[in-house]
Amino acid sequence: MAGRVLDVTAHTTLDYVDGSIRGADWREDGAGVLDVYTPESDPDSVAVAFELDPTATGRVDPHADEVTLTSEQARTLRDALDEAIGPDGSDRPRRLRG
Amino acid sequence: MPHKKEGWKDELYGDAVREKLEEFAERGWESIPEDERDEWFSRFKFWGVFHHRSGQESYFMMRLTNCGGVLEPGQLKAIGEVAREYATGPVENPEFGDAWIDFTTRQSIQLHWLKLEDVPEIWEKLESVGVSSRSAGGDTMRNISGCPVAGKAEEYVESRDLLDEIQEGIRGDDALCNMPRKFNISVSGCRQGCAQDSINDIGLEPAHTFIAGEEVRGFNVRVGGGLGGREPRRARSLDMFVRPDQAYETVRTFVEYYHEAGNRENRSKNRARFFVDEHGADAIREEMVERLSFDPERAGTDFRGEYTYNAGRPTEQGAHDHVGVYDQADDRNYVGLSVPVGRMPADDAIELAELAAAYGSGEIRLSRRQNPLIMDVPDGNLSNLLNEPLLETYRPEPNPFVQGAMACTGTEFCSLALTETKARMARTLRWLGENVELPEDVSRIKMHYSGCTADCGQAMTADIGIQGMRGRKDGEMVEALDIGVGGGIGENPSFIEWVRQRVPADEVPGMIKNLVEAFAALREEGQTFREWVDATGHETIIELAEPEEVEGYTDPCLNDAKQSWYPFDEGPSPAPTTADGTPIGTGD
Repeated sequence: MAGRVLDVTAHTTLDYVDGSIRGADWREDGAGVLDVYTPESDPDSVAVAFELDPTATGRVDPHADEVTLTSEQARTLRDALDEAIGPDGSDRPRRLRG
Repeated sequence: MPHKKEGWKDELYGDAVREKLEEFAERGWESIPEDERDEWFSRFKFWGVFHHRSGQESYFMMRLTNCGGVLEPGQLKAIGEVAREYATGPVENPEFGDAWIDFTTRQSIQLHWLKLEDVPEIWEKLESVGVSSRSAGGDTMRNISGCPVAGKAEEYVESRDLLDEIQEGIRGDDALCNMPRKFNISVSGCRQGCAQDSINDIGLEPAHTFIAGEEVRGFNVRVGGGLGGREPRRARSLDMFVRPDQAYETVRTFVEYYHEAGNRENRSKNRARFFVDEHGADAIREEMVERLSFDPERAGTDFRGEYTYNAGRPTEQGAHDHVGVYDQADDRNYVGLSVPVGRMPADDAIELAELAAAYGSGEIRLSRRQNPLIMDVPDGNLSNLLNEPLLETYRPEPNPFVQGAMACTGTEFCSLALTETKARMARTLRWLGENVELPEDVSRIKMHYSGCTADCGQAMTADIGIQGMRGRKDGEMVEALDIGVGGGIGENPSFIEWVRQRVPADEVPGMIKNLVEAFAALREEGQTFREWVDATGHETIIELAEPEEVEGYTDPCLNDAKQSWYPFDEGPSPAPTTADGTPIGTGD
């Protein structure tokens, strides 16, 4: 089994998140790591990376997925997350309420 | 664009940092402007002074330097006395109490909980016996590592003088102080491979070849090895053999080349192992040949096939780690002690130094496995030395788990780590020693524990490698561990394969017991753990390594997943504090 692809240290944004990988007719759940950082090679961008624990799946090779955002896209994402958490202090995702 | 740290270093670095540090020490912690702390703390590292992590503001760690692990008579005693007086924290460690020293994996010593204001006095005391902390951290050449018994035991090529020359002429050269990144040099003269050349930025390993029909002893040159950042590399051969009298120039040439051409922009990819990835060993060889004043030979015949140091080989094939009683070349002996996870109370360190003076020459050497060696003990003194009570605590014949154990600093002081390491490892070792029976010929199970993926504890090259993570247990976040097996150095260095991840820390001793007992039951006669792992299916090992809570083991900080200011204290942090430890008020 390969090691983790992402660094996991106290600087990692979320060292434990529940996550999944999905195909058209399959899905595997497990714990994973989510990290937001500024790549040294591209300091004007923001990277968001996710890796499901290598032990959580045998279906795909261990890997991390990463998106690279411009500052503007990062702000859009931030706003969407803020909005999803909901303004009423309940911390429950607003979009999931019926 | 150069990294911002390059700007800081351009402005002031190397020997010049010392004067500034002394000025701050004179004026006190609060004299360092808050917005300049990162910059100054970064520079202080060159002088071996490291600010503790967040929550422990105003406390510092000092890493001392030496060359190849040599502590001359009197030096350990002075270090122990400094630790007793200055390395005292606001809270005791549950396993080790207050005031202790850490032996490191690079043959060095670290002192914690120092106050900046005391640093000049500490330097004065240490330097009066020849101990320095210069070039112990930052983007510099770190401790030159060598066989810890170089010059004392049989060597194929004598390396002790060369180590000293490299220390003085290359590491000591202020013109080379500002490297693109930290840089590790090692020289092995022995046939055991104990300087672990394969994991250094440049490593010289003993070899021989024919030149003009004559057998010549010297070194093969390897570059670009290292373990960290989840991108470990074995050092690559430059297909180059150099005579002992050409070795200094060879090392200096590679250091200068990397100093000049190494990447100063992207710090995540600028260790020398990436430099070697980028340029390739062939091109580096060509460049080296161009720069060298002599024409080096192609690589000679090495002894990697014989390496026993951390090679996962049966004990009778040679010394793995210098723990035990061994002959020196001069008919005296050295006695290698075993210090679990490398931490020793200051009083014990002082006593050790006194024993070394009483029974040996007073010289102590440090191994790369966090252990001290008492040197130059005549046969007539051996039995009395071995009967000393201190050697009951740090036995030259410890249980196989203790003998193979290493751990990095962990959350106690490190800002990167995800879990506590040393106290947990010490407890685990004790529990395993009391609860797991191993066949008599299994003398070492090497467990290396790192608090995160940076892997300063070298988990990647262990029989059982452990890295800190976070997990969930009974609905709570807990400290958890990723665990892999089957790594080692030797002729064919290999890294661990992961077996289980996010195992709650309190279930790890039971998991190791299950795995090791299966090894004991299933191994063939004489097989080592690493050999057994190689011969066993990975899925089988995963099944055998079943995590389990066990009687008699209480984890020291299972629930510190939220990261308090100190893993063994639930109260608020007293930091920052004044020179005498009084909390500095916030002014309200």
